[in-house]
Amino acid sequence: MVLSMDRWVGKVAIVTGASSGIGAAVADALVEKGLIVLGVARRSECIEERAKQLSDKKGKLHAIKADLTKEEDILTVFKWAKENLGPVHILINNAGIVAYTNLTEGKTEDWKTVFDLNVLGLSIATREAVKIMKENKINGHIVHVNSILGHQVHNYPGLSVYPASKFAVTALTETLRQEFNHQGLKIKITSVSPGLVETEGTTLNPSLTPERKVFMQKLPILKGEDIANGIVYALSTPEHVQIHELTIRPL
Amino acid sequence: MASCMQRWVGKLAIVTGASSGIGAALTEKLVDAGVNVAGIARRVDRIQELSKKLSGKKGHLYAVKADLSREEDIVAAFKQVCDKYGPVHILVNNAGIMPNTGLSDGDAKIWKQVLDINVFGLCVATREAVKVMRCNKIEGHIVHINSLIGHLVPDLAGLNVYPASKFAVTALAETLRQEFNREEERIKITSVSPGGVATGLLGKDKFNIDPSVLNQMPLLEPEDIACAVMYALSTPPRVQISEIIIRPNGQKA
Repeated sequence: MVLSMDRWVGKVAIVTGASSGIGAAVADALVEKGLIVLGVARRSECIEERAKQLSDKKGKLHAIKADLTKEEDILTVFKWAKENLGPVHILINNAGIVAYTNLTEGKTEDWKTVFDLNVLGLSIATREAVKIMKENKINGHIVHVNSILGHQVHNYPGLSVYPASKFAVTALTETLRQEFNHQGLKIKITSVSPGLVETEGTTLNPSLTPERKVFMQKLPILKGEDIANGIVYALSTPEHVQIHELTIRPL
Repeated sequence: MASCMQRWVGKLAIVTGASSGIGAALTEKLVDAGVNVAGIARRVDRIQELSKKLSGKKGHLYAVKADLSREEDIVAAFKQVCDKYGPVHILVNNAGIMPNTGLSDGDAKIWKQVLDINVFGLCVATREAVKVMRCNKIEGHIVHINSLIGHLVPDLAGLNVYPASKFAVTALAETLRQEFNREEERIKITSVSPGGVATGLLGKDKFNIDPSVLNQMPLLEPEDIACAVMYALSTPPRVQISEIIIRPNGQKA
């Protein structure tokens, strides 16, 4: 009973939000391990660029353009993957946004976008992946990229509905696990909850206010590859082991 | 997966409850990886047997007898270990008990034993390890072997204060993290919380689950938990794994 990525070699993984940050790091790590990875993002060009650089790796990186707040786009992604790459074995629900606004004065449409992507988009993608896994009797693995803010509301200004959306992800993780149990499915679900990571949602965000920039630069921070390594650990566990929660903080 | 286990090679880890189960499985992996381990337990003969089995491996295993419910024993064990084998870099608080009694009608002596080992012993061992790490400016790592039952209370008769003791461990991990953070100290604290594991804890003379029931339950192997701890230990200095909740796939609770 050893940690191994062997059973995923040559299999299809879908990574949402694969254009940068954690998603890019995970997609690239899985390609290194020999998987066929479909990176999904609005900026699919970024994924295509990296695919060229990864052309000598064991696996392969494909790119597809999609807006994960739109159900039709998500359905198209899964259809394309099924028809062109094969049945999905791994789904990494990484795409997510923080809308820096607040509850007392914020715009409804900003709040709605956060839920549409972080909660609904994640749930639709999950449903589509599970459908394919069931059809093909695949004991697959779904990873929700959650946040420490999905477990506790830390005192950071301007997060508005983001913690609520991530608390939802925490609940969705357990709800899904229970559904798999009820249905006798051996598909695994893992929630990976990072603290602050250097991404375009945080320190690399071009539209960060000067105050927020100063605030963030003082804090210890993780790199996308640290989260990718955690996800690879979870994926490497034997079939009888379910990593339910992996909380990763910067020291 | 890039591994930073190299930083622990030749260094000393203390593993409590190293005589069997998760403690023994983890001790094997550490010694195999070149880490020296001082295994602390009451059943020191079992650690000595394991030490013979592991001779020839990169690391060494030393057996130390101590009752982890007694502060004097723990303090003395740490002094003995660090004087003899060097300062501690890794502490794995693995020793824990899960006896079966009631809460509404239970034996308070058993409740006290559970709290003495699972909570108090863990706190004392942690304090002693941190003292050594601070003295020697060691960027060490402390691992609490917690439980899924430190995060939720499953519907299982006879648990008495065990969930409370493990909820305490969950809180203690975070309290400790905040203390280190406040002092800007680079010591890591990880909580590993397994669901059911195939060790002696659940069986005859311990929690005493009916064997026919136990055989139907999906269970983890001690090695699975050992792998989780090794992953946490192998992360780069900037990465702290705060929590790993690890279930047997298909476990109901």
